[in-house]
Amino acid sequence: MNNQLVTIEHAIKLINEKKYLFISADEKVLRKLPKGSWIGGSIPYFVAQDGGEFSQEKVFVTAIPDFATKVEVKEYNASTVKNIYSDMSGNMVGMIIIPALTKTHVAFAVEAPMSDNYSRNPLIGWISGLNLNDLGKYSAKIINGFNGQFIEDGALVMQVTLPKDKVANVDIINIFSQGNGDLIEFPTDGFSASEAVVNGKKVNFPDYVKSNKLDVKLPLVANYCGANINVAFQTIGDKDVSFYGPVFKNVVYKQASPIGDYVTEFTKSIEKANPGKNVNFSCNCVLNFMYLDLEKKKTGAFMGPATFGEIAYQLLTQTMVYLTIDDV
Amino acid sequence: MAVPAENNKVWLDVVTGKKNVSFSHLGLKMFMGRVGITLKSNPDKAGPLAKELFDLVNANITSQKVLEDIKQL
Repeated sequence: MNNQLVTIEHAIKLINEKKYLFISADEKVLRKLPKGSWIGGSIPYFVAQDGGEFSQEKVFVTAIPDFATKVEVKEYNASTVKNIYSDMSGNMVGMIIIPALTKTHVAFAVEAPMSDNYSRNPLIGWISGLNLNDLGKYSAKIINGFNGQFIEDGALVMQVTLPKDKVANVDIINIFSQGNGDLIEFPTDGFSASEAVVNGKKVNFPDYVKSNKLDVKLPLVANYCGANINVAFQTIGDKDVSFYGPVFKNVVYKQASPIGDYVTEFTKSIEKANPGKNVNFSCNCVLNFMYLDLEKKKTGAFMGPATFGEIAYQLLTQTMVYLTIDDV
Repeated sequence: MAVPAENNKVWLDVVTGKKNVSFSHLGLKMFMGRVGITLKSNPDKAGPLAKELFDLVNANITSQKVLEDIKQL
């Protein structure tokens, strides 16, 4: 796949060449693109070939490889998004976009990991967003380029079927890991929590966060059989704490250890991950973009939008996700 | 490396934690996260989850990481 930040004119050229494309750009830019074989989502933050960049003029384009044997797009809503895994089969990888702060976003986050056939096929993608200065003024969008329809609440999945001699691998790079602090559990699943059980003792969670002066730039981290899964803090209210992704009942969380320089840590993680030359798609979290000051900083072959949530099988936060398509 | 048969006890041992494995394939790790969540509230689901793990491994058997992972079984 070509995977790069380009001008609108270049994106239009690729669309007119009838390439299958997975696109990210500011909504104003998306509205200038012609119909074609593509799906897209709104976002003005990117980590691309020239480093981290805020742009309301450019388009990040991922071209699906020509060797794909079939490409189809399916649309979901909050009621049907749990069917994403069951709707995939064979040697297929799903590439998904969901607008932030929608019913579908929440339904996917909470229900996908418990859905039938979960993780049977690789699924990668992101949560669309907008300029952080415009939060509350307008909404995140996704667009089905095949019919030009903008969607405010739903999900689009580009189902890409690969030939038998190729295999899609989805993985993550997460520089955060569990610290040595308290063990935190939650009584219910959800994007917010008013109560928690900390080291076995029930607490008011907003009070706990405030009284312990937690650095909320550091996510809560769960250990899924060796995979560090983050849940990023959003706001600390009087009655509850909200998150950018769901916490789950029956999962033990610990707050992440502080990190030093992101790019240094990230570079070490890339070397450890060793994905080879061909990263077909990746995206990073807008919180990493902001908190870790990624503007102008490069992250090697890992280029893509900086998003309001990352999807590698399920919703993640403060994590970089990536897809490689390898020979069998 | 052959995949253990569906009725092999190893699948149940993995999901119940009797056999410790360290998967490298992200899909398998994520699935094991779901296993942990589910079994804490529904321990009777171990059998169906073992079957799901078997199916998941077979569906991804062309992945080099899965081929490495099954060596631990």
